[in-house]
Amino acid sequence: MKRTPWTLAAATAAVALASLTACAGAPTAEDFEKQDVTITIGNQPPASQEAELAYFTEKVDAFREAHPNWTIETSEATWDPATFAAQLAGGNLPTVFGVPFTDIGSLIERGQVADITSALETTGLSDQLNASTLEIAQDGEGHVFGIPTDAYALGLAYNRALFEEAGLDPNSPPTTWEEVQVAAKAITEATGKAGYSQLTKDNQGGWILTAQTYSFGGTMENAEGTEVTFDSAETREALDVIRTMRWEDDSMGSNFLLGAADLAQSFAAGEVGMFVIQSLAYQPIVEVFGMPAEDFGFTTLPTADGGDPVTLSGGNVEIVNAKATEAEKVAAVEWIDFYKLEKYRSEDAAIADAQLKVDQNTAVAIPGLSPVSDEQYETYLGWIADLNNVPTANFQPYLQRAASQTVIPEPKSDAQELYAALDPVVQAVLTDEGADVDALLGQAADAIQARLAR
Amino acid sequence: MSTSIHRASSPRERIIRWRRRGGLSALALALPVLIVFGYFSWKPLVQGVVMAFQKWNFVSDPTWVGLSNFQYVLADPLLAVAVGNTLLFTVLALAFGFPLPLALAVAVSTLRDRTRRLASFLAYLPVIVPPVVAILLWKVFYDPSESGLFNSVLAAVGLGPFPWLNAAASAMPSIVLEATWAGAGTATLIYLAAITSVRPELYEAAELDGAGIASRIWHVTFPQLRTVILIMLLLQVIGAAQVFAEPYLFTGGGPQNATLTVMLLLYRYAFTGGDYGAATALGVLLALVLAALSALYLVITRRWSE
Repeated sequence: MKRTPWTLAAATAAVALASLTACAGAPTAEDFEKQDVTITIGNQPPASQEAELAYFTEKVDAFREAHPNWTIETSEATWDPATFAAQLAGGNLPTVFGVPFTDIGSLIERGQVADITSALETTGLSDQLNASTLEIAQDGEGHVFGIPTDAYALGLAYNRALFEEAGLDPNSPPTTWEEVQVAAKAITEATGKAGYSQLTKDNQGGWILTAQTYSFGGTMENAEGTEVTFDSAETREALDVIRTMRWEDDSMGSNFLLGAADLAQSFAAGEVGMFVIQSLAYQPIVEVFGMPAEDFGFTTLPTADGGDPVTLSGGNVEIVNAKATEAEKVAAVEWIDFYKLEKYRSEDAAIADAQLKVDQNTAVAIPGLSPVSDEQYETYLGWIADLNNVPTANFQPYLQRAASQTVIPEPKSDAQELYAALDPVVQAVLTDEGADVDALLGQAADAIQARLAR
Repeated sequence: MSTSIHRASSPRERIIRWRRRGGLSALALALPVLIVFGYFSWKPLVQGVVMAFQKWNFVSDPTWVGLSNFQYVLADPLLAVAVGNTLLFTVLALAFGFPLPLALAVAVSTLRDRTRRLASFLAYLPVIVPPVVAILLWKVFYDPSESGLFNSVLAAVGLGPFPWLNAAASAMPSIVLEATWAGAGTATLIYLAAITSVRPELYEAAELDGAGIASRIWHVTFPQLRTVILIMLLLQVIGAAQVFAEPYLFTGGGPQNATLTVMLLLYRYAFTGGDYGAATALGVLLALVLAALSALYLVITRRWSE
């Protein structure tokens, strides 16, 4: 039987644990290992992504071999808020799949995701995870409902070629919003392109505004997620930055109803100088929309006053079906670790993972936030350094300041709804010169406060 | 006499008579349809109404919450915005979309065989284009920059550039324009079919009385089409009140909620907020309003038709 060092360690830990808890009679990892368990793994890559699918299939086969008593099925189902509830009700939801950070809070609140606290203890994984990243998937009582596996911070993406055309230094991009404004104006004047642009629809207008408000020191909700706090001076300052660029400098182009795909495409085509997005967007922008990798620049989110950057985090958290049994939860947690986290512990797994990505010409390790401890992540980066095909030099402005940045999670409750309520505010500022920001923010705050009280 | 027999017949006799008349085989014939309709159409409908009074996460048992979903929906400041926008869409869609197919159908009906077939094909063509494709195509046409398709065309005659979907004032008319283009074909064909069924003797008689083309259309065609026109109007109102795909794909409800319709709000409740209680409550309210509207409309038009 092929066993990875980790499952061995888990088994050893489980045996040790078993001897301690044997008298209590609680089932151990070994016990679950012997049980007849069936789980369905979601997020199987579609057939069009051949290499990724091959890698996934290989991993699934290895997992099956390591757990001969378990039945492992796979599904292409991914997180889709439009079908989630129906699949949950109909029992068609995979046992394990990924959801964005944005939605995990609401899922926990609605009781639509499994509590995996005891499964993490049974498998011994709870000690291995990065406690601060894990917070995102915990409720007030410390119960764990998911395992974060990819994380990022929002920052400023910029087109290095346009910077050069406008006489700006692509190696020292703007660090404050004032500098962004100056650079945007310079780009528009020199090239006729939009110097700066911003996401405004599909809840992404509110998402980016949240990051901007954070950068001015504001918050969107109180820590408990019970009170709305975005009707504030900080949000107004953030909105005033884009208002100035739009109406005084005219440096934001002409389209103000933009979703991520629209804007990424314009940016890749060299129509936009700068916009706020996560570093991981490098992959679609370069690989799907065809921007030359050497033109892609990335830096930390601009600040209000030139101090240390403050930004908004996001990422993917793997969750387990709310209807899963304890044994299924244990199997699901084992899979998440095996598929997503093992590469940070095992050099062989790290290299195999990187080699596959190189083979299919996809980015190996884009600078972002670490889902595991920083130390573990650094070690991992060392292992794959020779294989990494991402031009990390272009991320230097980000990497130099990343360590000093403060990363704040998304609003605790109803984040998606809060973002949706702020889309119109951002749109109003960009499409209506006389927009009444006070009234708009007040209206959005009332709507979300009613939501939080529900 | 027959009535006295009916009054005297027992339920048993009635069933026997129903069976003799072939009621059983008729039922057997209809059964598959009834089951399919019942399961896929009526059951969700009833379930939707039930859910409007519940809070349910689809995991544990639903809890009854009385009218709280309705209270939440009715107190939502966005509801008034959405209702206003939906009314605006309906009015605009009727103003553009109601007379146009009628005029088109009348015009096409005056053509000769081959040109007539070609004209009706061309009128129907937009309907063949899948809605999502059509909307994404029009989104490109509506590019607000000077190099956008519509803007470059209009620039040739010294107009624009217009913001189209990018301004609160012009977003809804822009959406209606596309919706009219996309929907006119079906209505045109239906009117055309109705016009063809008008007996030619009526036109001949009118012609003998010295009626010109306009007079013949007004006095013969329209009165003969009355029932079809009234039904089409009702269907268009119901369809327009449920507009979703266009605002969803064009603008996502923006800018500044200028194109947020009732259905889009309902969609957001369910799929952004995961609040199926509020979503179904709003759905029930919309259905009630439309049912009331239809009833009112039928009462009024019945009086006209008599």
